[in-house]
Amino acid sequence: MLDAPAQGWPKYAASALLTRVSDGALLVALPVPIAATLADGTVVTVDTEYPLEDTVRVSVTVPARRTTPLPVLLRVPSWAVNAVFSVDGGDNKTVANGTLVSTKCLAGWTTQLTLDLRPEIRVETGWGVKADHLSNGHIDANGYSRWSGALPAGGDLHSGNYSVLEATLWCNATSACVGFTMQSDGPTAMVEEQGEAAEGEDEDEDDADAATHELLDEHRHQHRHLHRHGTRGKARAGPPPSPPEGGAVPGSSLVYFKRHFGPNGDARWASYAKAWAGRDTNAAAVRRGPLLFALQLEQTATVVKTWEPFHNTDLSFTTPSVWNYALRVDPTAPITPLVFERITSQTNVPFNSSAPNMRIRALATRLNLWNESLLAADEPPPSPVQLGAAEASSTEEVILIPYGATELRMGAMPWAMP
Amino acid sequence: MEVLVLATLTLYAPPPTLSPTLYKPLPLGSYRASGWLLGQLTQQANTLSGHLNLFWADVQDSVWVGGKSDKSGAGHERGPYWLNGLVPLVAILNASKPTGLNVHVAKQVDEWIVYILDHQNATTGWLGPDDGLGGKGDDYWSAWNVVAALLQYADAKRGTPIAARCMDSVLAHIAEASRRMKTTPLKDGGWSQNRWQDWVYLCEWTADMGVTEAQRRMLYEASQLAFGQRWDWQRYYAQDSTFAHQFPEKNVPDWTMYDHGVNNAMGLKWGAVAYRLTGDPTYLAEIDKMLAMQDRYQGQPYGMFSADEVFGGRALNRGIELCAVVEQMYSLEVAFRVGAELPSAVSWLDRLETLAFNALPATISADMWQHQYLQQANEITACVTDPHVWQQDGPDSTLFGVEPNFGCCTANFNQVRRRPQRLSHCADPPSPSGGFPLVSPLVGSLWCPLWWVPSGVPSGGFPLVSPLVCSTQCHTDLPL
Repeated sequence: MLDAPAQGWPKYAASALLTRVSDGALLVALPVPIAATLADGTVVTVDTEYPLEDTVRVSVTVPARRTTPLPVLLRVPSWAVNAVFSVDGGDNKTVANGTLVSTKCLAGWTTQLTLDLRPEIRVETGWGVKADHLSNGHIDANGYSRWSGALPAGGDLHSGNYSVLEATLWCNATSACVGFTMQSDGPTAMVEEQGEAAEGEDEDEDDADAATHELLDEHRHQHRHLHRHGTRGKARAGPPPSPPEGGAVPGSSLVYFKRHFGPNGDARWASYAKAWAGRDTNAAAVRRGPLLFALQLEQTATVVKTWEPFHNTDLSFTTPSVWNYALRVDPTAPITPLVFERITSQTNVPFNSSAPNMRIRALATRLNLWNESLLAADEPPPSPVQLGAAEASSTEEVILIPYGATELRMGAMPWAMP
Repeated sequence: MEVLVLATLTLYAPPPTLSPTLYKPLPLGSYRASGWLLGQLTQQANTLSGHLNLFWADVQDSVWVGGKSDKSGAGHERGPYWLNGLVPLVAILNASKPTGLNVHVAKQVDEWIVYILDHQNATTGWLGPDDGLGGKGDDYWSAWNVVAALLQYADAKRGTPIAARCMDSVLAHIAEASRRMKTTPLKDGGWSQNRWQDWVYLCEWTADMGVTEAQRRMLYEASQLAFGQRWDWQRYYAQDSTFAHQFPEKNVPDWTMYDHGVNNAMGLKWGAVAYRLTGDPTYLAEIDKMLAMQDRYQGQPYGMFSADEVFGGRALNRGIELCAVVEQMYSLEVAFRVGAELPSAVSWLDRLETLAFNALPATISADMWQHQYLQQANEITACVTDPHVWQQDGPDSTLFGVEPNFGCCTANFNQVRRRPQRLSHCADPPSPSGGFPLVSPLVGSLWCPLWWVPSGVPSGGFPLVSPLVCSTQCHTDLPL
């Protein structure tokens, strides 16, 4: 497949320097060690090992034959809130992050531009599954959100011919239940369903409804009740109902719940999910500058295939390392417990798992209840993690290295306050 | 009199024009890499990218260069994918003059380009195999990466006869493909239709390279034709309930063309492409809308959405395919050139940088001989795994190798459904077939073994390869 990804680095390099069509201005869009000669003879050299360092030096030599100064722009990344910019060794000027800083380079002169990005460690929370996917902003009196179609989080939980109230009670009492799916006519049907259905609406039923009722009658002792009261929330079609698991709630009308495993394209099926079901994973991503830092895992490589004639290999990787850590960090003030260090590396490429050129030391607590399934880490427990007393006092140092340098890693971790 | 004037105006109305890009890259041959970037590009040339044409049938023996292979995926696409990346790689290496380049990648590219030009249909202008692979209305896609390669080659060789040949070839092919699209439109639900914006982008790019007025008009009409046959990303991302399909808010359990990760990554450029074609700024605003939807419902910390074949949701053990990473990167590059004046445009470059420095290198081994099909943000094994937490990709998708899961990132439905019978787990790995155990007990010891090449490698047939020698002592000698 590297036939396609072959374009990754080359095209990135070819986008590093751009010219503005309107006035020929030079933009250092993506700082990397690169140089070029422009059409007017200007020589631009980006002298940096960024992202291995934080400073971007740009030398611009504009030929004397050019009569006007050359506008030059540099991108100040959105994260570079402390960036400073200087021209020819002059005073540092603060520059706005998330913008292009501009200057003009005189003809017949070599201008030295220095952009010092001064990144700080950032702990960005909110990664992983969003529990608020289960809420569409319209939470009913029972604390449920209504969705058209399948539950956002996947399959449903129950089947049987229940009222919404019955299902709510069942779901609330069943730890595995985050929601249920029922069939109805449209978005407003659920509201009506919970109220008293008016007598006489049966007359609006079409033949299909009647047929469905007959089907249900074979299975359901509430058939009469349904037939009398059920209207828009009534059963139409679906898999055979299973026996009810709870008593009918007096006064409530009936709905039909289907066991749902796949996508549901039928808008008549609505899903109800607990608005409070679960919590966001809210995992933390540790960043510095453009780099994401991930928990370093010892990597054991095994050759699974050797290709001829060049003897290149296919490799699998496993790790003996502990991976189920929660970072001990206050995301709003991450600096104190996280220590950034550079490492002298002999690698000729920056993204090398065996020779990372920088690392972040952090404190972490092992979460013994966080497991793996199918050789993959389960979704992290919701953060901030509520630690037990023993856990809270148990911390150890862990090493984070650039995500791009890893084959195995934890790129987003749960966290607990230090 | 008034009627006459109107008629004259109509007759001589200036032809519709493309909106210009705000920024343009330098000519491809003018970038000179140094430092780590040159090391990275040299590494790429010296390893898998520079060797695919020497040992991997789908490139080495591609139908594009007279062979019999390269017939899987969405068409004859593997050789073209490779060429599309190798042309800029070679252009930058040629200008950068690195030391330590061990493979004659420039020669490989030159031979491919010349073969393709020499075998273009002189009558119709069609480029490459014309056997209908992909099916009616969906055999357009195969040539698109070749067109991109030819445009880059022409850019790198400006002012030379072969550059002019490349441009003539591209123009002839676009004219022929456009003639066919008039009678055989982009097939509804096909790859070519879903990726329509890349075709229009190629037309716009060709126009930017400098063409005659008649050619410019042809390119404009070709663009409009494909635009009229497009897959509607706008309604999909708007979750328009009256449209056939809506952007998903979670993991997608079944394969679809429109939830396809690589297609969505390629599609990210559509707003920029359509804005240039129509001048309608609302199209440009679609880029931020798409990114917001991707982040909200499918976002992952390495800078883009998850998708194994199709969207995978926000769970941190789901993943993204390498092909989608590079296509998202390219779409962001294109988007910035057109939409640079939008307030958010700088953030597109930030995102591009995030992908380049995180998602891209994480899924390719340091020496660039191996890559994954699928990377996970939280990745504790990279083994043949079945069943697995991802859904559509195969059991070996997270392996690091030549072609884990699928030899290209555009697998079609049937091919991704193949399931090897063997259930292999990490605790019971297959025996190393190379006879060289690569079990490294130290984190710091992995680098060297990957470089190790047995001294007995037959060098006669491949004089360009110079094995890098590293003794097995490196296992324990390397510092962390």
